[in-house]
Parts: sequence; structure tokens; C-alpha cells
Amino acid sequence: MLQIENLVKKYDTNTVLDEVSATFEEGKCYLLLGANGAGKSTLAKCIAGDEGYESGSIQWHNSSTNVSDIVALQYQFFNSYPHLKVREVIQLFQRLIVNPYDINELYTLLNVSSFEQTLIKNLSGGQQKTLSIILAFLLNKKIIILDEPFATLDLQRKQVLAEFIKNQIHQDRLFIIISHEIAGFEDLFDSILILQNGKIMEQGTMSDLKKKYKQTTFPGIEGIYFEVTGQVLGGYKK
Amino acid sequence: MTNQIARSFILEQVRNRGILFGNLLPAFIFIICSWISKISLINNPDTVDYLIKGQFLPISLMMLLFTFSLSGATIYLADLKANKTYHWLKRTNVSPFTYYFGMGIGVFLLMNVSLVATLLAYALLIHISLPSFFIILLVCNFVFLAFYPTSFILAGIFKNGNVAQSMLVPILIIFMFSITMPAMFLTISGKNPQDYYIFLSWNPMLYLNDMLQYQLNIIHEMWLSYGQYAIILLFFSFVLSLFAKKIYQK
Repeated sequence: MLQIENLVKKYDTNTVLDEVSATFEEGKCYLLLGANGAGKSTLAKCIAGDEGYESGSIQWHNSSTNVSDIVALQYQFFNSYPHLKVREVIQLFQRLIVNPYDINELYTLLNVSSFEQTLIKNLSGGQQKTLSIILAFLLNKKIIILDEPFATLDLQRKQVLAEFIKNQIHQDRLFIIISHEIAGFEDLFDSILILQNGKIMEQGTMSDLKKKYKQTTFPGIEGIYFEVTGQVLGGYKK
Repeated sequence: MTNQIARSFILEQVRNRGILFGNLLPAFIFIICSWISKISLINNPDTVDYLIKGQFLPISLMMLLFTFSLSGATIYLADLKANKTYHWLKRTNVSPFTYYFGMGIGVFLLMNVSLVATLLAYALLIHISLPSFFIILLVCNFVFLAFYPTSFILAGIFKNGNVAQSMLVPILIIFMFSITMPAMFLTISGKNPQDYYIFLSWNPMLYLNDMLQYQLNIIHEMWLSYGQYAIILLFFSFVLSLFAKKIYQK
């Protein structure tokens, strides 16, 4: 269980995360929702150890284990090693990881072979995203944080990725997904956390939130988000 | 693991045609100059010999050493930092030492291949004995040991590869001309450049240049012995490594 308690993160005087508390359980998939600047990516970076924080705690099973050691964070872009081919980057990481995850299935599902001979500098946004996802899984970590994994992927890849993640959840991994694209993937998520201005405005399981917000303007998660924040996913205010 | 890291580094350097061409061009321009001089001054073999040994060959080797062991590594490291590659690498099982060691092997191989090619090209124009050939290579590698940690210090200071690339030009000028210019002008004015070497002892290129002049029979005595040069360069390498660790990690 990943426990975050009263996490405060500031950039100079700007408070990006304000007393954020949340609990994430293994074998579940969490959707982190919020407008741009709400603090989603910062929270992900704090969990992954890329960013420090002013106060609060992040613990794994109540222990002082370095949480960042068990986290794989998929960044939105991969533009390292510009003159290596995709296949070579994957081979490099396979060597650098002692027990790499077997990515053969994902490799086929995301059709990486179609651009494996392309230099990183020549990749499209979607291909960079795909490689970033492959590397995040290759790291073989208990907690996987995916930052907008569906954005810039084509429809077919979005669907196979969602199916793949569903199967992975059953293997006792913990997924935290930051995404604005949720249409068609709602059954992927067990729980939702809604961030606004660095604060968690709402959190709960899908079923609990659907019971709590029965009369929504929009259907599904978008409706819940609209009721909580007064905004549609994308920016419109009520 | 180190092999794969070295291979990746070499592939990146070789495929980056602009950088590779830029690294090799200065050294090879002087080889071409030497050929032209050899042909056009066919009646003055001693002059040509002196010109190649005293100017063209040392500058070619210094350029190669600088571009491969310092410039190339600095730009690569600065880009690793700018592209946030370390966010990925820190989640793998590779230690920083192993990664930098693997990368160092890549730099070492590229540098030595280009050095051997350059020396062979010059060996067609002037006499370079086999022992001299290997001593020159050996001293170049000691200078490399001093320059490699320097690349981490510079990469720690510069924001990305582009900034590093532009700043490396004045740094090259300082490292190169602080050795070649005093040596040339002091010789012209009838003074012994070695009397002033103490003021240039901070520059690893000094030891390479002095050894080169001795091995190519331009001078009859080196400023210090090979052993002392080796100790000084290893000391540079050790001290700079300590600084490099602090500055680059920061």
C-alpha cells in the first residue's frame, strides 16, 4: 500500500501540492484527474523521487523504504540518445536492468517493430510516447505511473494498451494513470482522485463516486469531474 | 553492461555526422597541409620535416585529443542531463561509475582509432619510429585520463550540449594556444620555452607537446621525465575526478 500524507510541494512561493493525502493499493488502477497546473505531474514526480517536497510523507507499507526505488514513471516524451535506433535503446535498457520485464507482448501489441529501426531524433510524438511506455514497463517496478499514456497514440494502440494494463493490474501491480483521455477506458480505473489547485477535491472508488454524484450533467467520469471542479476535462468552467 | 554502454556511446558519436566531421576535420586539415607542403617544398626536405614535426603533427594530435576526450564527452554528458536521461537511468540497476566507465571505454576507443589513423597518415610523410609511435599513443592516453573528468566538470556547468559546444571553442583556444604560441614565440626570440613551462604546468597539453617534440627529435631533452609526466597527469585525473563528482552530480 502506498500512503501519501499531508504532502506539501512549493516552487518558490507557489504551493503546487497543498496537504495532499491519498492511499493507493496494489492490484488497482487509479486515475489522477485535474486541469493543467493542478499538480498531477508534480505529485507523480514526488512519488517517483524526481522532485523533493517541503513536508509530508510518502510510504510503502508503512516502511521507510525508498519508494522511488519501486516506481517506474513514464514521461510524456523520450528524446534521449537521439542518434540511437529504437531497438538499440531498448537493448541498452535491457542490459542496464538486472531483471527486465518481458516486453515481447507489449512490443507486438504496440507494433514497435514498425519503427524499431528509426532513430530517436526522427520519432513522432506518438512513437516517442510508445517507447516511453515500453521503457516504463521494462523497468519491472511494483508501481507504474503513466503520464498521459493515451495521448498522441492512435486509436488501435490506445485500446490494446488499455487491455494490456488491465491484465497487468491482476499481477498485483499498482497503476496510477494521469489522463485527460478517458472516454472508452472508464472500466480500467478502480478509483479516481481529482486534483484542483494542488488539493485533492475528491477521491473514491468508481462505484462510490457514481453513487455520490447521481445527477451529473455529463455521463461517467467526465460528469463527476464537472460536478467536483465546475470544469469539463479540457478547461471549460461552469 | 559496460560493453553495451560503450557501444551506444560510439554509435551516437559516429552517427552524429556533423559532430564526427567537425571532430576529425581540424586534424585532417593539417594532414592535407602537410601533404601540400611536402609536394610544394620538395627541394627543402628539412624545412618540411621541421614544419610537420614542429607544427602540423602536434596540432593535429592536440585537436583530436581535445575533440574526442573533452569536447565530445562534454557535449554528450550535457545532453544526457538536458534530456533528463538520468531520470530513466536512475531507475535501472546501473551505477553511475559503471555508466561513466562504459562511456569512457567508448571515448577511449574512438580517440585511439583516430589517433592511430592520424599517426599512420603522418608516418607516410615523416619518419616515426615504432617505439615513438607507441610512446606518443601512451602519453595521449594519459592526457585523456586528465581530460575525461574535466568533461564532467564542464558538462555540470553548461546547461545543454549546444551551450557546451559554443563554450568549448574558447576553451580549446586556451588549451591549445597557451602551449603552441609561447613555444613558438620564445623559440623565435632565442629563449628556451622549457624555462617557462612551470607557468603552463596546469595544462595537460603541455606534457603531450613536450613529449612529442622530444620523440620527433625537435628537442633533445624533455622538461621532466616520463614518470613525472605520468604522475602529474594521474594526479590531475584524480583531483579533477573529485571535482567532477561534486559538480556534475549537483
